[in-house]
Amino acid sequence: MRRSLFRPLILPLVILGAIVIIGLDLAGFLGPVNDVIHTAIKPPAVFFSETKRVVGSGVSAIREIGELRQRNLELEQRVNQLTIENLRLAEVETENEQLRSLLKFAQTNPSFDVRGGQIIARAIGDGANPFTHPIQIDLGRTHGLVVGMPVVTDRGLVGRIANVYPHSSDILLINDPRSNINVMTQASRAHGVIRGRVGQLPIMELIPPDVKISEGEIVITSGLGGHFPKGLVVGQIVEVIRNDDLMFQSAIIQPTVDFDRMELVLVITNFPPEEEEPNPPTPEATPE
Amino acid sequence: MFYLLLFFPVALILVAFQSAILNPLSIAGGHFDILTIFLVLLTLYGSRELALLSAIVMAPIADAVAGVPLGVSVLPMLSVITLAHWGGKTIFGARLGWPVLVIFLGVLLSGAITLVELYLLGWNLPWSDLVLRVLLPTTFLNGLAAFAVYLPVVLISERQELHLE
Repeated sequence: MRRSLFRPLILPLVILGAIVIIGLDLAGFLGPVNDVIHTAIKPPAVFFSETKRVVGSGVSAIREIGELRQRNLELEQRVNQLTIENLRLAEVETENEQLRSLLKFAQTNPSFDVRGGQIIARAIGDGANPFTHPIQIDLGRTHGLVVGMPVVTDRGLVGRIANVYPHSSDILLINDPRSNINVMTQASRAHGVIRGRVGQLPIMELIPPDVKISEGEIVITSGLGGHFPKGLVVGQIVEVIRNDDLMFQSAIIQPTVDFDRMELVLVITNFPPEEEEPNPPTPEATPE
Repeated sequence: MFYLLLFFPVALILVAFQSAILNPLSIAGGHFDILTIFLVLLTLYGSRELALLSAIVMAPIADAVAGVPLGVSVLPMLSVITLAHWGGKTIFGARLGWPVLVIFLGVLLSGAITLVELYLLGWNLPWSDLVLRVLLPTTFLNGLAAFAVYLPVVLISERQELHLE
């Protein structure tokens, strides 16, 4: 009897619950809940992430074995065994290479204090919300991270810390539609703003019309606004858009960082970013 | 209360799987959506109430990982559950075609509701890009993937075999 009376109430209760949860979160009362969720989800996220990496390596190894089989049947069995035996070793070696590259970045930029972080998961992209793509790393508040800290790899700028939890953080990538970064071209010193776009390469806008920029030019952070140190490599111009009707030039930028293959990143911890929006950040994209 | 406690670890695993495994597997901008598929299965082969309870647990976890305000995903999930429940009871029964159609329409509807919610919460979103490059590919991808998910479910169900005969 109680069960049948309760049933019709579930739907309105769920709707009411949703409104209450959103309201409490916007009012900032659910910060601890957010922390608990991120702490609880870290172990399965790390497990799936590691499993994917190992399986991916296995699949790549199997493909290589297939090619070798076609080339040389006599060596097939031996290569197969060696590949399986060395699978773990190859994984460690790959990680070592990445760490060496990151170390090189740290050595060539001695003015930065950096902390290495491993990507544990890419945030959920659809169903719950297909429209944001923050990447999560396994460093958080307990490691000294705060919102706004720049994130880099040895290849260049990745983005900045958007949300910080006790043991993990979200990175707002430079190709996210909410990301606007003050940059300049390395050779012609033309200033502009790089804006992320959905499913397309980022675009550098607001470039003065009198400056001649060309394809292949390297784009670096300008340091204006105080959100990023000056001189971090962001990308390369792949297309210049000039239109006499417009007041400014634009350019399509190919980021130097491959976000799909990125596994390890560095967080610059001694660069004090300008005051950031509260955690979680307001969704309005604001230039640096 | 028991169900809420039970769903918490299940929701954690599903969201972690979605975020770590499925989301990076982007095909033409679309992503597989295990959460919607789980909710439709639970609605059709469990009960609507069970699915609603799981949604209220799963949505905040998914939102926290996505970096959006907690609770934003509840209404989109609710729309999927309602669609599955309504259609499962009235029009199509529980034949193979209905879950596939629910996935197709559900992903489209829940995505649209999410967009509207984020807009109302003050997010500045590039609408046309998100609809054309993310929402539509995701809808088609999950509609197609639904065949692979539901076909075995239907085949192993005696009730479904009778229906199909």
